[in-house]
Amino acid sequence: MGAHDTWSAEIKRLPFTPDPDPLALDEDLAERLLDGDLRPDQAPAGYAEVAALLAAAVAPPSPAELAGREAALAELRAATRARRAIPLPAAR
Amino acid sequence: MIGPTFPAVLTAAAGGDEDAFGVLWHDLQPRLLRYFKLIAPGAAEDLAAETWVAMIGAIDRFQGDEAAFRAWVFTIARHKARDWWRRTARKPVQELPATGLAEPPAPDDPAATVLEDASTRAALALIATLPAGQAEAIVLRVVAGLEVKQVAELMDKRPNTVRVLTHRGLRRLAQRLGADQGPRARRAV
Repeated sequence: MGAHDTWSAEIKRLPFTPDPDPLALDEDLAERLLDGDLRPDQAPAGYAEVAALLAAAVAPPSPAELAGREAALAELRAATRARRAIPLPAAR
Repeated sequence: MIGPTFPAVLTAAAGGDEDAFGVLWHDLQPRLLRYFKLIAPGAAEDLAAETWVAMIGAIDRFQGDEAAFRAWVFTIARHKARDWWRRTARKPVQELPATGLAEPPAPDDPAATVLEDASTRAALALIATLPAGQAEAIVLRVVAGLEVKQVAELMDKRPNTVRVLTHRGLRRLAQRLGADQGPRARRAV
């Protein structure tokens, strides 16, 4: 048995170790990303951009997003008037 | 989130207090618009308005904490979106065209707000490229701030299914963002 055969036998005895998944995502990491508990600089490789993306999705509202409040207030006023106009049931 | 003052805010808003209503508006309207932009693009403002009308009509009968209130509001919102899907017979989630993401800002917007707004739109646009269930589950968790159980009830799925959807969606986002970053980022992964 030559040196090459010995080396081959050693290789065969080594446990099979597949490449680690570079985007492995366990439940804890997923929850922290979804909850916004992970800053991009704290996120593991591959998920820093995802953390930044999710943070952008919940960025403070722009003025345009808060427009339309007056129409909603008008609806609230009308609903409040209508509720107050409903007579209470008469006491017996 | 409004936090510990929520019960007082809700009671006051239900009684017609406009300042309290403004607190609810500030917290929920942007979330509603972002949700609708994902699931009903082109009708976000109209559907958000319809949601507020329905909510205002029943707010005095609502009982529950802030999490339950938020879930209730997004349940109304999803029903409004479903009605819209039926009316328009469109796909529930569409890839937002890149040209539709850069609406001109209001002239008095500060530059920082404009950049922030564009970044939010770009983020939602990328999420919108995911399969519909993954995109909606992620937006309901992240933007609406709902828990897994609430999202499951809202989407009529099991909690584990919601976990799988969000998990796959996050992985897919990581793959896409990694690919966009080019070989340098891929080496870092």
